[in-house]
Amino acid sequence: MRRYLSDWKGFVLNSAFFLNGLLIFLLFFEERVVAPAWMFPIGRLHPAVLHFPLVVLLLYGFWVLIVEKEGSARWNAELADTLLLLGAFTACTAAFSGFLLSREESDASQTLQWHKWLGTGTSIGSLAWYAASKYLPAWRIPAKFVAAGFSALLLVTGHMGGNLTHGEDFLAWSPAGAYDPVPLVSIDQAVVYDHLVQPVLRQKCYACHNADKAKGGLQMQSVALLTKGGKSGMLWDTTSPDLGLMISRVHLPLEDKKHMPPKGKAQLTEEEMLLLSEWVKLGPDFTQKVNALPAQNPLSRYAAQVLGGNEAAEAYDFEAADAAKVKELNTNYRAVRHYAAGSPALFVNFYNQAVFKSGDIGDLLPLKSQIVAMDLSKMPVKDEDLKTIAQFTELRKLVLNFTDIKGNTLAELAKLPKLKELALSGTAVGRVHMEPLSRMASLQKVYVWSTAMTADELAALRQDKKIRFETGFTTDTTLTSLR
Amino acid sequence: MEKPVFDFGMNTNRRHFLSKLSLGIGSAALGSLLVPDLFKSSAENSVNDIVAGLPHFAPKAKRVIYLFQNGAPSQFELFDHKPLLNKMFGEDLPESIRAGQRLTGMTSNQTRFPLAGSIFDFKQYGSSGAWVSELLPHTARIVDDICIIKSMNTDAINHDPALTFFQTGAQVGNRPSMGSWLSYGLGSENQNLPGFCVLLSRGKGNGQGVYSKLWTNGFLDSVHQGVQFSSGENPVLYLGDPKGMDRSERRRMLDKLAKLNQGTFEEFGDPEVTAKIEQYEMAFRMQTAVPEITDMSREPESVLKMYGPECLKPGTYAANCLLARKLSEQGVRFIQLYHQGWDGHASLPKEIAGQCMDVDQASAALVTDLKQRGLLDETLVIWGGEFGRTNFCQGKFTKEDYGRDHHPRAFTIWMAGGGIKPGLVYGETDDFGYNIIKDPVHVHDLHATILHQLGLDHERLVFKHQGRRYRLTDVAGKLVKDIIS
Repeated sequence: MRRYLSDWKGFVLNSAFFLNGLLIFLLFFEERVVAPAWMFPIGRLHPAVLHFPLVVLLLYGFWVLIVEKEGSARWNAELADTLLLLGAFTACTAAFSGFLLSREESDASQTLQWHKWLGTGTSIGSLAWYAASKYLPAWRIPAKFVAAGFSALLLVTGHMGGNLTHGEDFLAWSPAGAYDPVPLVSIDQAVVYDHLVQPVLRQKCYACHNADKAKGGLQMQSVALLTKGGKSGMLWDTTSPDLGLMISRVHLPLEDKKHMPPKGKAQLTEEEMLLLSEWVKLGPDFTQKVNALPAQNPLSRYAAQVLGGNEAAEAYDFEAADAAKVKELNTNYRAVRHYAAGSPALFVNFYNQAVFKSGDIGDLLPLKSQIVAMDLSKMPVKDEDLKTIAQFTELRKLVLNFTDIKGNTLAELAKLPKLKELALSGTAVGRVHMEPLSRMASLQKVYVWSTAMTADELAALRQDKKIRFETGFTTDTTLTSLR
Repeated sequence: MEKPVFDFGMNTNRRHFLSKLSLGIGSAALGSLLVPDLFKSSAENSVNDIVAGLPHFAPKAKRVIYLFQNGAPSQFELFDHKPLLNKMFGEDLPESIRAGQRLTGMTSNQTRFPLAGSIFDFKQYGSSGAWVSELLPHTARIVDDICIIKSMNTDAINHDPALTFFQTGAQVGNRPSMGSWLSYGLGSENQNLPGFCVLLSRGKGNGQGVYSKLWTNGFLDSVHQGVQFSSGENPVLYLGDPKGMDRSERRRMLDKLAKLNQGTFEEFGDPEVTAKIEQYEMAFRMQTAVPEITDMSREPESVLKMYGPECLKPGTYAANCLLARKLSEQGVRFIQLYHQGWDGHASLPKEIAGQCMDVDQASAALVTDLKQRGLLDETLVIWGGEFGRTNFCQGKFTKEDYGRDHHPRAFTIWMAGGGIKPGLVYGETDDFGYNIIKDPVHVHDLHATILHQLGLDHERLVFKHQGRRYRLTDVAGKLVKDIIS
């Protein structure tokens, strides 16, 4: 190892040593590393740089495997040394750039973690091996084992890297990803076949019923192929009590030869079986939308479980308010809070009716482009205060439950272009005051129980197509003593 | 290997060593430029992380109401319908099912473990088709609003450790309670009320104690301690001014006291002193806030009817549910109810029927009431005990009468609102109801999920104490993604 900067190998060796030290340091403080923007291009070079160690170290491995004792035809004093040194150097540049690239990835998958540690292992391991190989000539058997080990390590690491860039199934024997991925949809846009049924078929059936295999003469990848059926005929028969071939096959006992999916393959869950049956009961219908189904339909329930989380949280596009101003307007009786760290949206709650003054609302006007929700319940808010409230144009939710409003100025709220929810429970508002609300395009939900309206008027409101009126709960359960 | 070559290689001289060392130091120095807060202590980081009292990410829920059924209600009489137990009524629990799992000292010397099926009928309700017993007609009405978790499990088999575990995430005492963690992580919403309130009630069934260590702030700041509201004339003891003292006089007295305390703080620097000043100030504000909350006169008739006849009787479970809703409406982060009397070791059918009469209507009313106010979206309601009960009988066994011992391996709770999927039945137990066969939810997992719904990452909500970082979930806990909508 006595090499200095004057000799090119010494320079390369020292650079490799330096880069590996840097890498270890960065991995040690990984959670806290903040790479500056100018370093990102180095990370992006990873896909290019990584090919050098791959090639050089594989060449090294191959050479060591075939090299023979000094004096024979396959003997070269320098080649193994040079290849390993170049391999070690390029491995650490690849590992370093890879580390930077991984910092751009927000969600570290299992594969990424393995790839990272194996890559680091290759980098450090090859340098350590270079230092040690002085004492173990390349033609000796143990050296051949180590070289073979490096080749295997490289292949595994490389394969994982390939999976990361091209997807898990890129090198698999039967690529399941050959079909279009399902787009994430919210429950309101979901179609029963596209977003519920097809993903199940793809996961559990396509492997055998595709263009290559077509077991039983059945292919399932498209609507036309599904409708055509297989050798045994149509897949469904809604007039039959067992709903036809497909549904009866999935319900056969697992031991039955005709049970689908066959024993040993991933089975349908009970929920998925229910899904398929209910879908077939629909006709089957390939265009049925989930939100057009009656709420009691098991399909709606299934959809809620599968797609329920896909509603994107509302993104607010306005600037955050001045922190000092927010702090200033927070009092013991008026809480002005951010929704979450980093969110510009504010919500306001008022407390203690004894200390409430109308001016307390107007004071907030400097924050009117950030306040998205306001809760004034039980405060002595008067009709004229709604004029002030109508200036908070970003409001999505306004709670006026049990306030003193009479409803005469409710039309003012039509100036709120984004208002979605309005709570008026426990106030004196009447049926006539609801008219201006129906003209508000954004309004979706209004709470009006315990108001001046009669049961008939409330029942009429519940028929409204656009706005959901929450009219409160009336019990019809009579409680009887059990003992 | 030739020895001289080896010796030569090992013969590192000073110059050689230093030249390599300088490279190593150089790489570390370059690396340190990329770690901006390398030389700041990490305690500073963790404190800064939560000092703003803001959620880590957008929360689904803002507040929690925990309806704790103290003493452990039997899942077999309420939610976990097991017809097999009725079919095998009186037969012994097969050893293959229990598989030597531990028993409490109360049943470990029993020679037989006769299976006891519920004597109460079950029916399916709602579009979820959830099984609910005839003991809970009101809960049955709201099954489409709640998520029933049948696969809860805990580590502890006796009341005190199990309760402590549920409240604090550890079986030993003196760790901060769930409500204290939330108060610490999110701050108080309403400056006039504590962020964490506790309400107690007791049924006629066999009871188990509740003790103030369950709402302790542990090693967190004292302002995060739970404040117990008592029944009776003064829900918060010593809050009212004595006769003859008006508010301005109280104000002057507090100002003077704060000055004295401030002096002590400057002298000793004990943070408990500032906590005390803050608490006095809050108590002063609570003097006007609390009467507003306990005033039921503005509650509409229909609401009172919904909670049932007992809701105007202070100290009952129904009254506490109504009070909990009012506190929650006023921005209290965490309201912890305890209802005692569920420990049915003997005469379980009779006792549990009474307990259900106490809690069923008011629990369901609370969910409905929050829903009709538009508050259920932002309030997480949880109903359940500290563990479950055995599928076999403890003690005297007849067709009509039996008891059940403690069973920590599987029990049922329900959650509602706060971004939890409504109308879902999650998890499954075997046909004997003894072991979980699908989707187990451990207490740590429940804690992680509760924190997540409030916008907190359970792995980031930490407090450094005595040289190590603590979390509510300690070193465990996994978010139950399947029950989140």
